[in-house]
Amino acid sequence: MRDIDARVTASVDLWDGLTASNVMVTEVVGAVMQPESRIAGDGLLAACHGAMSIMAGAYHTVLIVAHCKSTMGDRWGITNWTFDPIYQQPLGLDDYYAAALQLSALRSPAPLSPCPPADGAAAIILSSTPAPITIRGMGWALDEHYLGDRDLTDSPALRKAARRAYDLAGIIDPKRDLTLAELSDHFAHQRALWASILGLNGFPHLNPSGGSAHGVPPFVAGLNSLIEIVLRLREKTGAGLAHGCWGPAGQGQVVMVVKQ
Amino acid sequence: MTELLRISHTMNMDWRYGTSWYFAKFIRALQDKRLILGLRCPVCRRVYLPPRPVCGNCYAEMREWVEVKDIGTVLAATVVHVPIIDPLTGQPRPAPYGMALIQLDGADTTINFYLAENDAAKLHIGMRVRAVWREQRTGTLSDIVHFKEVSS
Amino acid sequence: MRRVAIIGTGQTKHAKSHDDMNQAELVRQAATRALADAGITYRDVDAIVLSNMELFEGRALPEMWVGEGASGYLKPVMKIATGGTSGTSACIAGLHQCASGLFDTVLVVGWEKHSEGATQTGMALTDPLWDRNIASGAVGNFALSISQYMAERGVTPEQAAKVAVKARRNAAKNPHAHLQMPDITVDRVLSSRMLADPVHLLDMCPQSDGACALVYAAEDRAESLCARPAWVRATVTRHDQPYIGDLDRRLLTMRTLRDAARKAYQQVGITDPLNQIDVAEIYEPVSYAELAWYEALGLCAEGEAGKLIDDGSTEMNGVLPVNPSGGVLSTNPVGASGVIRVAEAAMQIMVRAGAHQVANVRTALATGYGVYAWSDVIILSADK
Repeated sequence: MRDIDARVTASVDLWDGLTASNVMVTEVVGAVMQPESRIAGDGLLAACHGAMSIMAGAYHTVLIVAHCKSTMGDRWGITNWTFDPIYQQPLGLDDYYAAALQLSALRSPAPLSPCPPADGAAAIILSSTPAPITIRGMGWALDEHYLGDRDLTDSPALRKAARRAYDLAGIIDPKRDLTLAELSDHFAHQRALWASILGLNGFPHLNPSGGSAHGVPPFVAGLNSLIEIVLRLREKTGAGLAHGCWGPAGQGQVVMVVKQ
Repeated sequence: MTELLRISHTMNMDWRYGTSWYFAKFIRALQDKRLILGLRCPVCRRVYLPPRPVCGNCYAEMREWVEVKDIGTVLAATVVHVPIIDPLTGQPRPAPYGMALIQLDGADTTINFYLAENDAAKLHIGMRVRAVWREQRTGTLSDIVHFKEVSS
Repeated sequence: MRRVAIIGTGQTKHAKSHDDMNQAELVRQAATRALADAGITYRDVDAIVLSNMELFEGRALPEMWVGEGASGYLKPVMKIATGGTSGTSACIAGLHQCASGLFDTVLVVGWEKHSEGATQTGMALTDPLWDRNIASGAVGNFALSISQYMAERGVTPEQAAKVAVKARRNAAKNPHAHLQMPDITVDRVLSSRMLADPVHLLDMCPQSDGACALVYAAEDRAESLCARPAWVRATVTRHDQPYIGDLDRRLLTMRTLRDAARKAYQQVGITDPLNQIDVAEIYEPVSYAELAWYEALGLCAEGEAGKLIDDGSTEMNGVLPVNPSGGVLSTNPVGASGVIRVAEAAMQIMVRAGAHQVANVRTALATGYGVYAWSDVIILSADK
């Protein structure tokens, strides 16, 4: 723990049922008398934050931790609090309904299938010291908030985030240049949707871990996808794409490309 | 000029918090035996209340339980005069009430809790206080009503 | 590290209640003012970092709704929430984003709208197993720490009141400040309602509605856009243990602030802060804290804080003006308060502080404070 210069955690107060909930993990992430920051969002975004701190020369080694216990509260009711209080929240909208609207817009006959709820945490260590697996590109973006303004069959935010990550990583043809991809499919139909926007239609190495269907908490999912990529790249060289999303029907999107 | 509007919502949320192994032990000892247990860091030897998995200063896991007395020394004290929401009731707690940071005998950290005395003139740092317990216990700090001065 | 400077700032007029704007509009006002001050448009913004303690307004993932107010549509937006230090944490995160080389222009916006929602309810959502057994609130906790500070140092309520007077009188010259009291006196502070011994109403910070934004630009971009950018020379963060009882005489020792300041001074080559720093924006939630932190920041010897306020060293015409903006004591939208410290420090260097401008500022100090004892120290300079 002494070798870690800084920590970035990812968690959201409302899911933790605590104001400034990151206070409760300060000791266990070794942040006493140390730098610490906290993203209220997906763990993959926290990894981007940590990576940028290292690129900026502020730190050499950063610990990233994402945690969430989604079984503590009302899984969908909690997401109603993320909708604007003037138009959408009073309608009783939540992430489940937003996903249902998205599925309906896609005109898919499949039933709405959310991933199983889960409690968990994930952690990675980033360092400026040369190592076999490196971060080559990252991008994130926020989509429109009002569901009625969005084309729910598309995700310009994911497209933009991916374009940025691909450009930085030198990915020209994703299906050819990537060896594997792990997408955060909080709802089953999102797997194909995110894949098509990422240029990965029919990509044979999509979600080798099983994706979110094996049960990953929100805010941990994106960091977990990065870990699944790293574990596989350790066995075989190549390039992997990690993905996270949060907010109604994936309003926030983050993509990271790593290579071995 | 359009009239400004405000809209009201009331939101409710329930959470089920996990106690963890160390708090479960603390709660059981308090509820069953009226025992206050602290955890000692193997490196710096500090006894912590409340218990937690690691000593933040040493990043060392703590497994050594230490019995802490229900009598201690006031290291900081104040009297609260304004209504502050009591998290247990959701309502403002009737003021004035005395409050202190109390170092219980055996512990190295202090606990923040109520005092029986609410006259600031009668409070001083260094005074000795003892817990006044409730009849029925649930295994939380609220099993203590407040701390009352004792002559040492 | 790639050099990064602040080239523009913007704030709303902070107030008890902004019924005229919703949260997204509050953010938009601060953001557009910062962009105008920087001489750029929203198209030039490459990334956005937001700071807000959403539970106080009864929100979650507020950047979803409010992000557009900061021109966040299809932009990289990140939201930071670390309690009171949210604002300074966000400023440091934004700095790293710009210094990383990934983005040339980064916008940071902090906001809070305490008049919406129930801040007290949000603050009561503490550790259910421990802190929820006590109704202490922020003021109760400060009063406890202050009782220890007074016992050890012998500072008096009059000295603390002088800090409160300085803050509100300075705020009278700051058009954005919430509490502006040009005629406030020590007697008025001491006769104001007692909240928790010895903290009077006028010793304590308010809760405000407001937003504050600043724009970072890297190297050449900063120089081409701004005649006198405020270069970020050092940032240090230190966090501490989670319970108030873990901290030994919190205000007095404030080990996080001491260590952060020591490290920041070292990075910039400051050995005599009182004379080498030209202006300081210290995050002071209560009057007594500013006194204790004069010592923690090395502005005076241990035990001399009372003398420092008594002899006027930290007044506007003193050797080191502290909080010319009026500080947190005058304006406190929690998510914005840390950003305001950095923005106000930058304004002093850029010579854009108007009526509360201090003369000849080359080096400015900004601090952030949160939870029980978390600290951020940021040093800005006119020199690259």
